[in-house]
Amino acid sequence: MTDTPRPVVSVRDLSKAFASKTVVSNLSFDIFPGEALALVGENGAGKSTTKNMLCGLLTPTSGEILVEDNPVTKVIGAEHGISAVHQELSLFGSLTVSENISISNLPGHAARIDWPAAEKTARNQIEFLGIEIDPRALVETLGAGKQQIVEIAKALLHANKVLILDEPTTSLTAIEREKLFAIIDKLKAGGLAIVFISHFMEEIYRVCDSFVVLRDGQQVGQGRLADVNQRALEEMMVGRTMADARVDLAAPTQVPALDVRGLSSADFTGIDLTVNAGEILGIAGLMGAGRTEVAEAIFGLRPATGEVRIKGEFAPRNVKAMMARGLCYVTEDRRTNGLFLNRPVRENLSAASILKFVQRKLRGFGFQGEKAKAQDIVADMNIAIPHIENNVSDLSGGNQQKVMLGRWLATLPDILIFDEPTKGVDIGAKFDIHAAIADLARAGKAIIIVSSDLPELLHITHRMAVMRKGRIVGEFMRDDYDSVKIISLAASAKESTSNAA
Amino acid sequence: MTLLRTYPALVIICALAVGFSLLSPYFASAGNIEAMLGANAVVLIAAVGMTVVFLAGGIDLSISTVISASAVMSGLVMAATGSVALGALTALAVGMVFGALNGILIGYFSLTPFITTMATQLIARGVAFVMSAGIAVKGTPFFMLDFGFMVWFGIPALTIVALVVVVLALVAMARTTWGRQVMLVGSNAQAARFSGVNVPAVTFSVYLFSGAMGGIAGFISIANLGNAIPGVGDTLLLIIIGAVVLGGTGMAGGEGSVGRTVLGVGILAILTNGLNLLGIPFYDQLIIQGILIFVGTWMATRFGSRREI
Amino acid sequence: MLLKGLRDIASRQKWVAIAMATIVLGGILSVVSPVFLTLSNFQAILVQASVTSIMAIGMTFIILTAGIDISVGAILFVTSALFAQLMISTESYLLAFGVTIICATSLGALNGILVIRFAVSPLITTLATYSIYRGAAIHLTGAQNIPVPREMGFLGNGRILGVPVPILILIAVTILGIYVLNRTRLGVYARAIGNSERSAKETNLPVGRVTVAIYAFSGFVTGIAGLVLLARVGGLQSGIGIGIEFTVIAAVILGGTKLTGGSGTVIGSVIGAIFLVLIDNGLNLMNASPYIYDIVRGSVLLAAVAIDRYSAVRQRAALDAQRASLIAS
Repeated sequence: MTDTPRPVVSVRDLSKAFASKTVVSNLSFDIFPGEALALVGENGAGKSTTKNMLCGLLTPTSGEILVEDNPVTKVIGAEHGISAVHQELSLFGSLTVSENISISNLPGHAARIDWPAAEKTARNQIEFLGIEIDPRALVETLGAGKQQIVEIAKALLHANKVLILDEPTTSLTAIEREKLFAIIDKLKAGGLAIVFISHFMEEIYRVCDSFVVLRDGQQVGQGRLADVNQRALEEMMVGRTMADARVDLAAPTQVPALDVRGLSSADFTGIDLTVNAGEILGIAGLMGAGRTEVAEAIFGLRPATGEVRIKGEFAPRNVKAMMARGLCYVTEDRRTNGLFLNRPVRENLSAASILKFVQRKLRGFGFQGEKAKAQDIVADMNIAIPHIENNVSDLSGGNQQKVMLGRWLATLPDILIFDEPTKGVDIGAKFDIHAAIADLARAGKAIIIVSSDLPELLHITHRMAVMRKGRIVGEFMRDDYDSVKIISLAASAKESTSNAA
Repeated sequence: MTLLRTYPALVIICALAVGFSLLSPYFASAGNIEAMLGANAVVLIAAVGMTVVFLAGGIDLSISTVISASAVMSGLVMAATGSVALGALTALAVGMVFGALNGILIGYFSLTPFITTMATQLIARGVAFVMSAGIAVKGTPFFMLDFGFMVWFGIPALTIVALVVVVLALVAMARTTWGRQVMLVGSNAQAARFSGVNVPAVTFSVYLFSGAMGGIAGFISIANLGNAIPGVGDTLLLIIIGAVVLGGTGMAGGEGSVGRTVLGVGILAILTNGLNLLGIPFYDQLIIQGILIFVGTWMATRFGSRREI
Repeated sequence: MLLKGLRDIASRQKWVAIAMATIVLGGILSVVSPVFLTLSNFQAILVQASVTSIMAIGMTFIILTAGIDISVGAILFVTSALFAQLMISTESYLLAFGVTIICATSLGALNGILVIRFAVSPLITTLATYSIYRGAAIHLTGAQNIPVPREMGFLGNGRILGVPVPILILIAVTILGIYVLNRTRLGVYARAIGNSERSAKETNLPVGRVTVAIYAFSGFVTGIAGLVLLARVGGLQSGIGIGIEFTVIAAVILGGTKLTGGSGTVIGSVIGAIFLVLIDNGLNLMNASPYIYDIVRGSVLLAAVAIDRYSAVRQRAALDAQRASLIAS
């Protein structure tokens, strides 16, 4: 670093609107060579949009991006030396490592690729990153950690100025994560600027030098990380202090509603869980810890061994039987596993309980009353739509999530498993959903919430189980909640199994 | 206006009908309309089967030659026993056996619909030709021949059979949980599974249904042509798929309806009939048909609002 | 031990499976019939397979990009019709060859352009163009059968250094296909796009141009196949190319190319086409009714996809078991 650091990229009054909805407005910050900038914010704060404008996937609506003091209207990543590693990797599984690394810059003529040169480049890149990967291996045969490295190697071929990393550690093991951080340090030392997007505060403090905080598309803070502590940063992100966020929950009963014993599969092992009626149990952990897999296995969506009891009675693990016993599972991945995007809201609401929805005049035929019931749910859940015949794809993320919730509430469940109930949902809808969950518990339902949003779990659960690498490694009662302890337990590389409190 | 947006196919039908009546005085005559309706009963029934498969997000390439196979088997049974009822049952059974084969392989063993039905298409074709030794089956009962020319209430009997099938399919799709489940599986099979729908069973049932439609179409083809002909289905695949997509039922699943397919069949029927009356040779008709199918599909995906009957 | 090794290779290189099946079938046939193991029979099989093999090479690229082309049979017919017509009107081989190949390539390219530009699925698009191309070709020739000049037969039945010309052409196109797939950007991009269109867009690959080029390439080789076929049958016949698209697709699938795109080989498709001819050859040796052929072909195709599916399921189970033991430890 020089004495008078000159920003490699500067952002001035950057805004982006989709249709008429402004997603990001008036961002202004600088990115310096040899430094890592943390882009932090809650889900939906505008981090992805900002990232996509920086790497050229989106064109800003207004404002400008200066690359080494030259204004550019649309970033062309390869040309301007900016590259991004997206959360969802843009790799080709059926291509080899070296093909993947050099795909957008193949050496030799278009009609005569110089494969030895490409392989050499790949080998050099991988060697530089200090990881052992065979350049001839197919990418789909590599583990998540190595795929991440390949993606970084690919990005680095263009990124001579800025490398953007979006949640790069979510699928990595602790060891792989340390290796990645070492690589980032090395890149910084080489003068590269890093933009680091992460939910994990300790990672941000480990890797970054400065920060920009986004909240609801606004830039609410920036500065040097050395000047702020973690709590202050979190408060900037959420706009309120953590202590205020906790709501009063009714005391749970002591009647077990769901009892899971020794559930094991390829993704988890020896899972024991009990939830009582009126109780909200959180399952915390990193992505890839096996939480979603456990939830899906309980509901009968995945093969597993072990026993599930509902209200004390053995329940066969298939979706139909579980639904008949009052269990429901609200998926984390609405678009893939939840919504029927090209079908109307009405059908999305009735999908899981069509027969409970309607009164039939003729045996086996007709859907009388479906409309009215759907309208009731829309009103109850406060879903903002012009008409229940609108396709569910027309709705915002928050309203789509409410539709999912409405679909399952219509089955009149006693036990609800929520997987990331507020992912990609705006603050208002999040509040509505949390209130609905608290009400359900008060009404005596047993609830499990799987969430990567720790403040959310701290906020609305009675009890929290922490998963790491397919096992439950700890359990906390609400009075003993300690976010630092929970995070370190979830993320620790050590294999110690501590049963706190 | 909304009607036009919902059913762009209706616009094409009206335009074609008006155009042809102006160009050929014979077009709008009762005799011609009767002939046109009767000739398209087979395609309409098969297209209903294909529509349901499309709605469930699949494709059934075998339906064309399943028509041939069931026609041949039915023809043989009728020639041997003289019983029309037995012949009808045979056609239905043969169609459903092929449908069940497709359904098991695609629904329960997760094979790709395209290749699976391409293979069963070959097998059904082979069955049709082997069983008939490659020639039209002789000995069709007289009733079948008469049936082909019967007219009830001014409408050919064959068309009435086809319309009954259409109405049953419409009711099944719009008013039963089976129909709803088909739509949900087609819209998003994974989400359907997460909502407790037995996706393999629904997928199986859809192919079974289209097999049955192939069987009925095969039986009707005997009445229509006077004989069970082993090559009857060979050229129908393009028309069947063309009619479905022209009506506005896409291949992505979960969008469209049986009612739209009726319109799609109508377009192709009027087009073929009108062009024949005008003396346009079949090869030029192929060109026009191809352009219409492509443009119609494009318009349906681009402008069609996504609402079914 | 050997078996396990072979299975390992077959799981990595999908075409090895069909190659082994072809060898086994060849072995059976050579036991059944003494004629089978003769050079002339081998040549006859390869000549018979040449047209579908050449077309399968083009189709491989299309299926690699997760597309499909139903219109290849029609393009084959157009090529034959155009060439025959041009020979009558111009009597210039050079002109006829040139125009025909350019036309075939353009028709392929048109498919690609329609698919990219109008976002109608490749299946429907090429189903429509199938109808259009065939209609146009019959229009052009007035639904006549047209003989081609006798010298033209060289392309179909002639020999160079004792090797039948169709086999030489097949070898040349195979080498071209392998080269394009493995050594050119077009080939790499095709595999990449078929594997993940999202990744391809994020990597800024020219998805549209590659798609058009791939369909054009398929049109190009189909044009060559059309000339070979025309030379072999000695003139234009109305039945040329009807139903051949399904044989071509079957050959590609048998060769181990995935219909969902992303992985496949040129050599696999060629062997797949040869395998299909071997089956015909075997049935012929057994004096089976020609109508049985379809049933056997269909069953073989079903067996192939079922085996492929089974091995994928087993592979997944093995991976799951591996992960389970990792987690349990």
